[in-house]
Amino acid sequence: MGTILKTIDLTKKYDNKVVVDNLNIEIQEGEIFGLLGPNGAGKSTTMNMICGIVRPTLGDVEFMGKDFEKNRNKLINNLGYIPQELAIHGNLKAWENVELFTSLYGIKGAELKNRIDESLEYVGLLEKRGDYAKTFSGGMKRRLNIACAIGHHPRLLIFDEPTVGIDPQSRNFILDKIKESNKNGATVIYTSHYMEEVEAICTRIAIMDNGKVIATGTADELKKMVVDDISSITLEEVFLTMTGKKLRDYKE
Amino acid sequence: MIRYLIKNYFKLMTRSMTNTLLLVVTPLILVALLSSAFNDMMSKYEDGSEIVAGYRIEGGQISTNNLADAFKDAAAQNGYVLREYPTGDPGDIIREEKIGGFVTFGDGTYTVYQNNDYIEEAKVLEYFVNAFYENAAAAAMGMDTDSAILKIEHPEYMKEIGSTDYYGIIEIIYFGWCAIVCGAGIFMNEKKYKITKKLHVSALSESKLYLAKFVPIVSVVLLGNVISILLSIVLFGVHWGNPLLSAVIVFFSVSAATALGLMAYYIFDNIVVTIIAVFTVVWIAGFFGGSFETYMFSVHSLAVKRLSPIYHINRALVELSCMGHSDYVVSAILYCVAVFVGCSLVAVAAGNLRKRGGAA
Repeated sequence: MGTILKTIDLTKKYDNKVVVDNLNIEIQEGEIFGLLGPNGAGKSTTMNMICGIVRPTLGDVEFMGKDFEKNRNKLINNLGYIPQELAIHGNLKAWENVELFTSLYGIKGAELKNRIDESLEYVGLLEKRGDYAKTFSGGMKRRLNIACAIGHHPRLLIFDEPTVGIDPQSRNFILDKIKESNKNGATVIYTSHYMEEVEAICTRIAIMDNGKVIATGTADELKKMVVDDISSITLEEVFLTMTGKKLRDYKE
Repeated sequence: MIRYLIKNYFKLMTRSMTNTLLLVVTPLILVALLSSAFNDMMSKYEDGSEIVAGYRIEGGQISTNNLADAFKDAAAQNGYVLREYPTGDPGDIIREEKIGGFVTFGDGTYTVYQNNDYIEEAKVLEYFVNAFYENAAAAAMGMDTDSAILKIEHPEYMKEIGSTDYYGIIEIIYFGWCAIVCGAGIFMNEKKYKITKKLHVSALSESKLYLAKFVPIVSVVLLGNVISILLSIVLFGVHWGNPLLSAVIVFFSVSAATALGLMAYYIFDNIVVTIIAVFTVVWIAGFFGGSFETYMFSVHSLAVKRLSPIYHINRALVELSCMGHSDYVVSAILYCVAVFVGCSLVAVAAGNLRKRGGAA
């Protein structure tokens, strides 16, 4: 298993405010990599730079061994992005939403039809393929959001808080599917504020604060950085110890 | 593969009740209201009745007499009846004789008297005299005015057009210029739910994403226009003149309108600001272009009117409707092509700049 993604001195400044500061992370193929951080830590900007939506002020992103910026059009088909927001059209049917987003990656005709059904089946919405997305519950919309990003079989899946505001059943279903995708060969980058989720599915975790990675390792390794007896501490306590308890009022 | 994107945008737009209301219902309501409101004003000319005006030559120069003769010829060619009144107060004459207006020719000057009871005829006379003197001034630059025969080649005023035909054509075109509204709900959602961001996580270039928005908006607006045009024919009996040329002009008009709206959206990146900006521009263009007050009777100078693409489109379609031909067809199409190309280039450039700047 080699490195699938690497950031080299990745930096983003907005009006002289450093949002991401010389970030160096390396993600191995087959990992579920958790990215944690308080609001305003720079997680979303990092994700946006990895996806190529935001251009870095300095530094590079290397994806599948190549400079992502220079080879973006060739590499982008290997990337699937599931934003925190429900990025679907309510006035489109479930299958139409999946068709719209899957077709962006050059998939067409009979293959596109197969991929639509495959993606909907994967998230348990095949029977609802003809229903308008606006009629779906929160959990169903979240699952459709995922279906829209996996139809092109990406090698790297980026989940930005995919379980916000949904019931425990839907959350459990989504987490199982993320693990299943990973078993099927996809590398996953996962951000969430739910520490138990991160601990349950991530093979490695990085904690970000003020635009920098302040700690990286498995959940147990992170716990060991704080106390010797890892059974006496939760990941949330580790997070709060490392980032502090001060409220982070953050304006997007 | 933008065809799937186009297809789904098209579906989204056709599923919107707002679009149906804006493109089909609203223009028809306005056609009914405006054509009825201005029926009295324009019906006087629908029956082909003559416009009568008085005149008097007050200047002593030979050129003044020649100019007055040329004016009488031009008036006769355009169906105006001029009666000479050598004496009497022009104000009293127009009231007593119940005629629309009176013009006195002095040496190098002219005066138009208007009868408020026949204001439409009076305005036509004023326009006609102004246009005649503009032509005379232009001709005087290069020819002997003593022997010149001056003609008003294409008077703005056409007595053949009725209020139903005029507003039946003009309002559908005007609402077509508000094309960006068709995409408003979708673009608002795209921004709110970060769908735009997701679209950018693909190999699609900014120009392809622009086309994916442009094509469905044009298609939906054209579809709406076709329905409202057919309904305007069935319900109000609007005459659209040369169907092929009219269709070509409507197509270019909608394309230009869509490009204008998308350019504003790409620049402002906010659909509310975009709609305010586009509506303002379109209202101004429509104001000078004859969308509210008929361009024939408006007091704005021709130079200002010609700055408005809507004036060229309106005039071409109205003339095609009532005369079967128009010198404004080419200028209307060229103006629309220029707006389409210019706005599209600016929109794509703005999209690329925004992306480079890093705002998602």
